[in-house]
Amino acid sequence: MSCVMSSTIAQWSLSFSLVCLADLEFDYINPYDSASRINSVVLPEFIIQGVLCVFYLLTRHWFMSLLCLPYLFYNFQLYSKRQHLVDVTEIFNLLNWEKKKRLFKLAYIILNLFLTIFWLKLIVNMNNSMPSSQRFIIHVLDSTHLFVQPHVEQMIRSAIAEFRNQNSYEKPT
Amino acid sequence: MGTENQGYPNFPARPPPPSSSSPFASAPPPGGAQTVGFRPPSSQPTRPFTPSGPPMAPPPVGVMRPGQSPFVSQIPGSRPPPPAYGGPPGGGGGGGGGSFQRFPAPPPPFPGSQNPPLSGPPATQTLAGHLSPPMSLRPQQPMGPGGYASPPGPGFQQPVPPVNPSYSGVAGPQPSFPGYPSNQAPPVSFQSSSQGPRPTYPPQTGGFGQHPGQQNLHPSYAPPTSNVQGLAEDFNSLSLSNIPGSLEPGLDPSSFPRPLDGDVEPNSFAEMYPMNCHSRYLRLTTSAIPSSQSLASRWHLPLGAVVCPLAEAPEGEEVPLVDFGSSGIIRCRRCRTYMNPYVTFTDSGRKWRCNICSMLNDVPGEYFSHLDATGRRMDMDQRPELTQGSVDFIAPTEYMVRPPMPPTYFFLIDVSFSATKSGMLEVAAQTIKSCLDNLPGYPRTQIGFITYDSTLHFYNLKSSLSQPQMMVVSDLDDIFIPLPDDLLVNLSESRNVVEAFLDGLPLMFQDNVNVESAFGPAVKAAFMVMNQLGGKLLIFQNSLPSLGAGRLKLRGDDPRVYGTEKEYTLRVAEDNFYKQMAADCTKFQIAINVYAFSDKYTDIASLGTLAKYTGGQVYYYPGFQSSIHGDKLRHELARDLTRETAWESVLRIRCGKGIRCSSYHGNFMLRSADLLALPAVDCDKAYAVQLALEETLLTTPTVYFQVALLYPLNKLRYTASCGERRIRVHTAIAPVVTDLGEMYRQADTGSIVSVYARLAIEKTLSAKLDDARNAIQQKIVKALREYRNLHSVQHRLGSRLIYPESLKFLPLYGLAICKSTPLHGGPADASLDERSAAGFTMMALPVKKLLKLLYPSLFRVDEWLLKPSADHDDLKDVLRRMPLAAESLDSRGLYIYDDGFRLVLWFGRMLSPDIAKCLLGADFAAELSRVTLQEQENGMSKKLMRLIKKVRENDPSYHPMCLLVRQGEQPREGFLLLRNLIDDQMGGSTGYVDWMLQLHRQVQQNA
Repeated sequence: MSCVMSSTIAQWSLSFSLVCLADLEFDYINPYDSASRINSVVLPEFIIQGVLCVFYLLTRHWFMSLLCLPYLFYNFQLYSKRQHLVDVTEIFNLLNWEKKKRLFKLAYIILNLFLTIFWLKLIVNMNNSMPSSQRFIIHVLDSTHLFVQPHVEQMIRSAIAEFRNQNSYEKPT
Repeated sequence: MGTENQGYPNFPARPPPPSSSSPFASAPPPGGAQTVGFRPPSSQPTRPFTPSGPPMAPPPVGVMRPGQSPFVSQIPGSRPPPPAYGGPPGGGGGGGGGSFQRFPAPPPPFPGSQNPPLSGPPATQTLAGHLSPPMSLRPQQPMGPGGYASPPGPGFQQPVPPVNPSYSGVAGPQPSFPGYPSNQAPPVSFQSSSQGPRPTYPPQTGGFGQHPGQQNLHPSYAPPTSNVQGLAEDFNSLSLSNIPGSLEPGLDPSSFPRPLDGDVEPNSFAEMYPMNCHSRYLRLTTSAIPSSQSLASRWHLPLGAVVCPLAEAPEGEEVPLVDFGSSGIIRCRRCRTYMNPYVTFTDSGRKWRCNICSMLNDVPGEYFSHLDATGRRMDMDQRPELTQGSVDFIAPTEYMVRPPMPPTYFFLIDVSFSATKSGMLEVAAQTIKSCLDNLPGYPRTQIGFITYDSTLHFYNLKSSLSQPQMMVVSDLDDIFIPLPDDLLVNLSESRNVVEAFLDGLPLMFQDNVNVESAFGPAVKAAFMVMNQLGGKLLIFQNSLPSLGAGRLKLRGDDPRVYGTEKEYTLRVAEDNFYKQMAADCTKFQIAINVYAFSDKYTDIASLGTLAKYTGGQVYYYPGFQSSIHGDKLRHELARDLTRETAWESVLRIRCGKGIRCSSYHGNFMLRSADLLALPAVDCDKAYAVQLALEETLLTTPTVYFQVALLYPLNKLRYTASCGERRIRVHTAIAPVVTDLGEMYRQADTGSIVSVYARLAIEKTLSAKLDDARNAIQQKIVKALREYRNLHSVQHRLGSRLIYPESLKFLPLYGLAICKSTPLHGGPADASLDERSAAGFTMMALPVKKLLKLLYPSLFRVDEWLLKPSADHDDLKDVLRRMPLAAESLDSRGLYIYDDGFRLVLWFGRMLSPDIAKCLLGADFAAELSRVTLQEQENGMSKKLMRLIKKVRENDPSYHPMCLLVRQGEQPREGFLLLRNLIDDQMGGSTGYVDWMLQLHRQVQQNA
């Protein structure tokens, strides 16, 4: 749950700075305001992203935490070089680059989010595809937990295994 | 100086000479054209061989380059055998002197030979034919027998040099320049002329019009004449055939194009569109705009322009003032374009169509005028905005955020130990005082002062006081303003107090031994005082900021940083304080000019940031001594204070549909994507802009550009205008073309070089110097390669390096950029501060000034000084520029090297002591680094001072300081002059020849 939340916050801060940049480009906002607004969300975004990564580690989602590492590393590098804040004097020259950077980050986070809730989605879909009498989900707790009828556990496991098999590739011998 | 044009192989379509020997373009250089006494001081300054020559000219013993055999026959067999050549072979080999004597009666063939070109318009290829008479040497050219062509320089075939006066000064009778090509040429030419048949032979225009065939400068590439006659080649070329292997022997550097005329603007275009604004305001890099993105991408040179919105107009060409009165300024409703000569009126004068966005607008009633039969407005002639490309509109109040503020000058003066010791404080105080009368905006002008060392000193200048009151603030962490007002006062009211303050300032701190500098807090304090009004902040800084916010460290003394990826960090502001401060200042319309004086490291890179983003400027006087630099500071500070300045202005460039400005380069800050905020702008500042095509295909036949500068004008006193809003509008049109060749033809080297220089300097802020230099080289290579590809289909190019006429100087200027102070060499070649200061300066320079800095002028004056009759102002005659090569320097001469920022007087080792004595007075034998040039009581000295004064007046924006150096006075000579000889190879840097070879090799490699 918290993963989803932090992803969402990071997403929000990225979109916010993207909007600021776009506004700047179309002259709805002056560079001073734009830069100060963007800079005010840069550090929160970095922190949230770090927290997210730590969460994945703590909950032993190794794959997801690995996926987060490059992003974290990039942020760290920017920070240590003191280049994480946008520079108001050069903001127009860097506009395109800043936008691109944030778009990539946004895509990254969305992918993250999607992967996090993927299995849930799979099960929910399965549930929805069944006739209403056979639906088995009792309650969705959060993005990673849900209550189901006891008898379907085996079915869900096999469905997931099957999905995995379908999507993995074995070298033909 | 018209003659110099002829020196280049510019002129493609020339009638071929009757004789078939045209390939031997080796126009013999005009030997010792211009030695004093060598020729009567008549009106034929460049006439090469007057009979009196021989006696005067000692046999140039050293004329030959050591290894150079008389007829160095690098000339491959491909050339036709030389025409009958009766000349003594020794003419070439034996040395110039001898040969001179051999040709005793040259005058007939050279009647008034080179005079006409002098008056001829510069760079007019089309005139070639008409001017043919002057080409005294022309007759000989065709004869230039293969073998003889060479003597001038081994293996060099040189179509033009003879005409080039700058060579003439050096050539001939001056033994000290062994190996200088022209030395031996005269004999050849004479020989041939004396042979009789040729003198009458007109069409071959040696330097002037270049026969196509003669574009091959190298003998080894001598296409059959017929071939040459067949096609009029559209380009110039240099043959660099012996590229692999030995470079030296085959090439004559003197044949390479050099901008000895200074900046020649392409004027054909201005004639085509007379209603365009003058090129001093707006110069496009090419006057032909590509019609498609693909075409634009094949044009590897920058597509852009250099804008100098307030350039000084000469008398009589001032920008007209237009007042629309009650109807308000007429602009397009959609794109906000201002009324300009290119709008069209329709619907019998009731509507007008915007030329930029083609929107149909209503003509306001007050502005209505009937159209005549051709669709022109009847009142066209009374409306400057409809006939001229540059106009000033008087803007109504809604054009400004706030009413024009009074012009404000605030001075932030370092009074630490070094400032008082160097005399800076005194000079600055005096200069400010002397300028008080001329500050713009009287009677509204505001003025204020803060001085600082380790504490800040504020001054209460209230008009009721008789003496200024000083308040000291020593808490640097929490700056506060001790007095709410009276720190910034009206100059006319508090005049007495201000004067008392300035008088007392040097005395007040003369015993100050404080060496600290609380620069950052001082700037902050000034910001707090000024932010209501905006204005100009002048900072006089003498040492590295050491206290408070924005304190800086000594950096750059670690040699290990150089050459690594981190190198660039030394060239950008170290502390973010500076960028932030600059941004805040711009926001509050404060322009900062930084004057730096220290002989030690001051971190100009950081300080200059303040100027860069506030539209200011950096003045750097390393090791300031009032006795040496005092004059310079006085003039430049006075200029800075009194020139017409526009405060809190904004600049926007509108382009026609499909084109937009993609980036801007210069000292300013962008307020929005296309709006330049300029807290202060004046006539000495130019901005470069790059253009990009937005649409893949431009459908209109022309594109318009409109530069609009909105500024409140504070006139100089006497006009007593209390701030008027004005909009200066420059409009230009350029045709859209589909042909790459046309783009190259219409290219403007000056503008391109300007953009390149700025790009290169910006690159040094994020990359190594090497990378920046390579980038320039690569760009030029790409452009030349594209051009080559364009022509390689139709023409046999062989191994020639070809380039369009319009870009003939581009390679040289490229080299000059690489050798300019911000970019040249390694860490040891220039201090960090010098680099940064030069970088900041160059970012703001207008085109002409920049070109002069890149390729300074060098001219010889001793002959002129000795000439008795030179009372009239024959400056044109004197200021003939020579190539910047050591070969141009004769040890018996006195030369002036002028790059617009300093004048270096170079005294040859063998310069007659009389001259030195006359000019320097009693000091003439002393070490020249300690001598300053002062007017002596004799004609020669006065004459020289007059010349220097003239040179300075030509361009008042900076005050070139006079430096004296004697030949062989190392390392000063190398530092001041030799290093700046662009054409030469100096310690690791590339010479002109090598540079061309490199370019050529790279062009060919990937062709």
